[in-house]
Amino acid sequence: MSTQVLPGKVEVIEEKSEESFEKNWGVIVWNDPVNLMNYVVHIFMKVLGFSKEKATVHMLEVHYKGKSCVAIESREKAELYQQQIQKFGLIVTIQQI
Amino acid sequence: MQFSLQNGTIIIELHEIEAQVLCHILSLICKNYETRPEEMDPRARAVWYSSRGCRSAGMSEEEIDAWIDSLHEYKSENLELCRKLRMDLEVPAEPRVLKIPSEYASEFLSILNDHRLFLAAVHDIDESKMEISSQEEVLQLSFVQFKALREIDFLAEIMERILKLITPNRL
Repeated sequence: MSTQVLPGKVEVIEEKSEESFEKNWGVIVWNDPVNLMNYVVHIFMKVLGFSKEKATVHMLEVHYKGKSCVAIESREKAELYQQQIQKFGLIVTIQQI
Repeated sequence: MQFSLQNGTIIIELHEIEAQVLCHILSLICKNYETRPEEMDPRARAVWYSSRGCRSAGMSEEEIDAWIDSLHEYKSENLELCRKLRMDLEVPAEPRVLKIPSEYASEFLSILNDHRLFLAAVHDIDESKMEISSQEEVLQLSFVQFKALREIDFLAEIMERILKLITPNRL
């Protein structure tokens, strides 16, 4: 049995691959009234590998400024962080910086 | 409640009533984890399975559906831990004891946090209600909101005590 590669499909896959490697995607964590400050610090330490001090700085930025950009990565990595952080109940978006 | 960390295990000792409350909460959490996102209360779905981040990333509807499925799968993985802890709490003893290996601490915290988010969403508990401090403000709550806030605070206490154990010198 032979396989045929459809030209249109290859183009879409190539575009998606290129998009994944796009750089300068910021991971933005947003404030909310429910999540505990210490829990947010814990998640930043666990998911992003921050020291307690760095995690606290970003947590306080979320708390007082409404949001914090906790990472700037390739799109693929930013999406991974987004999913990992959202799993723990934080509000997180990604955007190109 | 008493909390301690012994040989890499978080030990929580609870009085009967505390155990009953936590057991009831864990049962509700299990039920919610068993529920497909599309079958959830829309307000709860909006916090547990928010697609806000996906839309900001310009994902397609298909990608968003896959994202939500992935989140649901993660919560389903927590279901086993949730059920086990509920069963442990049902073992007659005084005090009732929960033992959680510290490598599962983050998962246990996210389980409790999920319920806090759920309660706040379905009972319209916004920032102003989360910060209620006076008796006068409390009296303006509905009974279900009052009960939800008590559960939210109860779970917050457990989370804070665990966080204090696993990360010394917290804020």
